[in-house]
Amino acid sequence: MRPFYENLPFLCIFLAMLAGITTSILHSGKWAMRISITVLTVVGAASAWLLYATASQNTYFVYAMGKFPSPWGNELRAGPLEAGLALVFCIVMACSLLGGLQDIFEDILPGKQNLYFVMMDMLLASLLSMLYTNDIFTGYVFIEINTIAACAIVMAKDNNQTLVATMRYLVMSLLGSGLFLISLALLYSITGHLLMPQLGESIHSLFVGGLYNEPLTVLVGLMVLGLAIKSALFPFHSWLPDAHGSSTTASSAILSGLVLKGYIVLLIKIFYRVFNISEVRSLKVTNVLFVLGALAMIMGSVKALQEGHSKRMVAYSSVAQIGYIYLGLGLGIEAGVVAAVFQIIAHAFTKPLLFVSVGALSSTAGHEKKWYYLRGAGRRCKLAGIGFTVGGLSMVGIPLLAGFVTKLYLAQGATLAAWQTITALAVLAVSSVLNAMYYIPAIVQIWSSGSTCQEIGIEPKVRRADPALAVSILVLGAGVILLGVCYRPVVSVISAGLALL
Amino acid sequence: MTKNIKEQWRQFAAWVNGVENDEPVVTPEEKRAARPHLPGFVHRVLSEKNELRLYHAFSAVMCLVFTGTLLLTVLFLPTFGGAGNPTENEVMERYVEKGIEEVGATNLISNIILVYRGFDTFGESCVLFLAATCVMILLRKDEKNTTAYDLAERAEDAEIESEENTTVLRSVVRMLMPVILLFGVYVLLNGHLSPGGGFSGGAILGAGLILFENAFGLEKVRRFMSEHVYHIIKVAALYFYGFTMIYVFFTGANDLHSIIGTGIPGMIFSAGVIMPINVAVGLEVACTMYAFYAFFSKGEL
Repeated sequence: MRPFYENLPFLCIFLAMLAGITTSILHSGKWAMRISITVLTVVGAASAWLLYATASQNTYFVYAMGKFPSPWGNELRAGPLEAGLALVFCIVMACSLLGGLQDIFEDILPGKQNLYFVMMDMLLASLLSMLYTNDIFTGYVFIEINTIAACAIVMAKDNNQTLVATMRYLVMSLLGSGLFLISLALLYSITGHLLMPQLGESIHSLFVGGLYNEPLTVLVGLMVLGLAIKSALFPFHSWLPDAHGSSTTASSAILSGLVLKGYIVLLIKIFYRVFNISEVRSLKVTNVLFVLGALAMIMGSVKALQEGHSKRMVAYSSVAQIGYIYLGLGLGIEAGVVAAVFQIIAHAFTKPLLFVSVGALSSTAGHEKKWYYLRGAGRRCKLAGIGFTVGGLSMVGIPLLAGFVTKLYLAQGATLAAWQTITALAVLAVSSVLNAMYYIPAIVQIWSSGSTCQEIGIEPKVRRADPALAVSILVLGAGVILLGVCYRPVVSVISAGLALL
Repeated sequence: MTKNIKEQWRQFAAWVNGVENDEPVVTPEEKRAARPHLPGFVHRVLSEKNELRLYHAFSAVMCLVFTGTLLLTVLFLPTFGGAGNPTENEVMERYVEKGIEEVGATNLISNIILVYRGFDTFGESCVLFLAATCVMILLRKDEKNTTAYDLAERAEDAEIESEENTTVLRSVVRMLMPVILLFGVYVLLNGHLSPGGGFSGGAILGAGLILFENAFGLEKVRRFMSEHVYHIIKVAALYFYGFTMIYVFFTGANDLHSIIGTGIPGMIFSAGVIMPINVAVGLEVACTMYAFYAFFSKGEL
């Protein structure tokens, strides 16, 4: 009999799935919401326990799903990295839901609200499975669930814009899944395994023996391409602004903050457990990722700069921020990956904070989303204004906020890299300036006096933050500040987790 | 060019100051004509028609390159079914040699998908459930997606259906229905003994339901398969499947004694959880298929 905490990953995944199934027969959106929040709390607490148990002993464990261990049956694997990310995902998802609650109940028809929360529960289950899986095909199955649920939460608002956005998202996302599946087929036919530890051994022996070089190169390319499309790396980002910019507040926050990250975490696990970082480097994948990441950091910000629509601007900023993660991975060294994982966590807190704040700010101006009409919105909903300010400054990279620490670690990692040092530092500098160029004016705009939305016949109204919104902004904001101030424990857990992978 | 930069700078400054928002109103047609995504020199060379052609040519080239790469890769893969392939390893060996002994189903595939790799398959059933839920979000009749015109059209359809001009269809369906359902049930129940199982059996049952709906109309189907019943079947099947899986995984992973045996291979009541799970999956699949059809054609169950 193993210690009980080792059952937690499996129980969390099933709890989320069964909650989704139960929610589908409820008639009330309110109860569906309560179930989702409860599940998120329970799973969050379980993840915290798991994090404590694994981090304090600096250990990991594999958990066979059934009585057949690898290489015959499905397995889960959990260590400090997985447990920590699961905890972050739960906190962020709960806060995003709470922050967007009012919008969910306004945007979605009452008869379909419970279905929205079905998607949320399933999204949680799929994110957890992608974190914990030790089996690459299980990873694929849950990528599918993730895709469907993510498209559905965009679609739930059900207006022309979101339907078009969902269509684009669906096509691009399925293309990504398809490429990933093809690469799995190739991988299986040259190794005969699907479980990560055995895959790692086979791949290693193929590398040493120099066998099947061509399929190996192609399959790594396809796998990275597939996951890059799904996580909106720069030239494949065209679906993101529509999908994240038009959906309801909570969906935007969760899509930007978590869904994109799930795929990247899976990619990191594959880089570490199926290949190892030096094999990946020898295939030149990291170089491609570095270049694309650097381009994303610049182009995402340039696009955001041209955007007058608040949510689309924040969505384009996600393209740039995803670029930071890939830049870290592209350095091809341990320190770069640590920075990338830190950025995953930092962005998971910051971006939902921005989306939730923008949602609340625009509700003071009749849900008008253009920056021009949001003048003075921060004065009418102070908490959201503060939330946006904190998030925006973190994106710019002001010290004591999470974004600064990412940049610090990326820069430190860059100095150790092979050829990327100068480029990485230059891109970081340029990107920070660009970030400032669109976040600072936006912050100035919302704190300016007066209002402009009367010009289109909307009466500005004061919104007092309801408890759900307040909790959401306070928790996310506290997360951003905590990550910026006491980042050392977080980084040490990340490095320990990566070392155990 | 300089003017353009100046203009952009002015707009940027204006935006920073928050003074004005003087973007001229552009209709989509004008926007398309202006083709702002192309740099100026391309604009001069390319007409709109040529641009479209270029786009098509480029997509064709991309497809060819991609197909070519994949086909080339296949050349480097081990021969299909060759002896000594990497896929012929201890994994396959155990599935084939010990599958019947350890799990108990003579259909080795169902051993693999429902027991050895049971978690994946539970995930796949959830994919079906999610897909049906998505279709419901999108297509279930509500005030947003249904206009008076749609309603009138549906009423007209219903009228045509109710007329007695489907005699041939109805007679054939009357004869076929029992056979189809029986065959579906057979495939479901024998999933662990012969080719078949939950997914295929469920598809047969679902197809039968769709055929029945076509011949006799929604009202007749509602007598036994209303939305209420649909929800009950779906949730009961998934609950049963989920809790069985939790039990199997929990006892397996913790080395606890499990009450699930293997039985005598080849008997109908054998192979532990496989047959009940096949039935649950089958019901779920049948419901999902019918729900897809009903939501797409009628917008309701």
